[in-house]
Amino acid sequence: MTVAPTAILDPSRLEHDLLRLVREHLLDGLDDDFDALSSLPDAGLDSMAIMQLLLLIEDRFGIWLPEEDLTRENFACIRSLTRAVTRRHAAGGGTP
Amino acid sequence: MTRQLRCDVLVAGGGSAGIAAAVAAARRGARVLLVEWHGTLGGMATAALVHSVCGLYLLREEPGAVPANPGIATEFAARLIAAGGAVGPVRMGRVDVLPHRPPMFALVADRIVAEASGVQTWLHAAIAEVACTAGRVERVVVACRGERAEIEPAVVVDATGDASVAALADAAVEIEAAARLQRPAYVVLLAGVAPDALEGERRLQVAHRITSGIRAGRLPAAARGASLRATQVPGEAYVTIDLEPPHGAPYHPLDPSCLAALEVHGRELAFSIADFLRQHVDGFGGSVVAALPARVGVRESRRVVGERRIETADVERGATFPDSVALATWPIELREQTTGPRLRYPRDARPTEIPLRALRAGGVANLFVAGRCIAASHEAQASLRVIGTCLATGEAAGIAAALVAQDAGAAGDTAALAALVRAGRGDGVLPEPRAPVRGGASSARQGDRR
Repeated sequence: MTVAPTAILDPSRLEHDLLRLVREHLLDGLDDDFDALSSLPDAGLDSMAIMQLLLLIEDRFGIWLPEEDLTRENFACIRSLTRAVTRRHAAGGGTP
Repeated sequence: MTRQLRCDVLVAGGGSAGIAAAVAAARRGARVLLVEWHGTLGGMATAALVHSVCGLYLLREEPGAVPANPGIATEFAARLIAAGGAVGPVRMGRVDVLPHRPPMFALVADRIVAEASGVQTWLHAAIAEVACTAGRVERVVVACRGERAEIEPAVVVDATGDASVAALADAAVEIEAAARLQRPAYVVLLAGVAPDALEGERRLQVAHRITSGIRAGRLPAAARGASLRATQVPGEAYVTIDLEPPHGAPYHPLDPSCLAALEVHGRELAFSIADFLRQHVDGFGGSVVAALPARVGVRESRRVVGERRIETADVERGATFPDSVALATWPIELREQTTGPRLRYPRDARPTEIPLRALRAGGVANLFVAGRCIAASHEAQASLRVIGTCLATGEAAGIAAALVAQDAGAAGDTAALAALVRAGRGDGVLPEPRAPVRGGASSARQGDRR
């Protein structure tokens, strides 16, 4: 389901929202102890899932992560991804 | 003139389940007829270019792949590796898989079947009719290009992937609602890809370019279902596209017009993606579509209801059964949408035992089922459908079929039969073939007529 982009991104909630996004849309049945520091690649977030995640982040938060943000470090865990999205948001959103 | 033939075990379908069933039955002295409608054995692993054997190994947190099923599944994997047709196993996230080369899978399948003396293989042949009397399959009509053959088998293994024999025999079958069926995959092989085009961070770059191409309208939205993987051969990469039928049509894997639409749609998408990669992605400038699949890769279709359906909760908790004959170890891999797999892992990474009752078509005493169409819920099937598990259920069904062909009474007690199947699963040590079963009937290998 596509939800209208959230006009204002709330950095304090972003980590929680991204965690929920990944849980609900990309990785079914994650262990209960999966958290913002758990490894995304180990949980099965492959490059195809990253494609979906890019589109979901744009749908939900209106932030398009440009190619230079696509690094293994940024997609290592939800916390590192939150930092990347927050930086892009601060830099003006990234949606061309 | 209609050709007529008797055999101990008729194996319908020469995919991974059918190959294992035929070999297992023949090694126990049964005269086997293996019927496959493609020109190659291997099913999805060859005709659909599915290039990974999943479900071969136990789920483990620790590194190091441990085979889940002794016998033909493990033997086939070892032979693929020895023939240069696979390199691995490879850890991908939390699972171990064996990436393979589909042409070599076909070759190894030919060889392992040829070595099991007692298997006659028919290719380009389809199951057309099944005649049952008093809860037994009496006769199966096989059609090959306008020619008919009437087979009188003692036992049948339905390894068609679509429970085709069971359906034609009026056994109880079921199919998930079209909206929830696991989506099929269209796989093409690219050649001429630069060696590092999918290495490390470049994979992410490719994913980003495709996603940007979709946003910019240079690629159709359906390209969202695509993923790429380099092979062990320099310059080769597979594009796998999870497909919806075009124009919002419902998905029905048993409807030839739906299948035709999927095949055409898959090709169109594959060539659009290949063109886009060539023009917009580093390392793909010299790439071409080098091979198309013979068919779209169907993940889920019709299944038998069986004597015991493997339920979703069975896989989630790693159920055990007194009549267990194989282990399923792959997570529940849902592909109900074309936006990538959703994986659900069983509690404590436990394997699920597959009961022999799930391999029996209820109400038809001499019909066993193997592969992706065994009795399972929609979500349980999303774990059981993978090639490694199909090899294991195929072997179990083949052993059970040979035992029942030798002694029809053995069909009556499923628990006792399961114990014999477990005892008979090879660890590379083959039991002595028993004497031929049906006195008087000549070998199926010689294609007898009567």
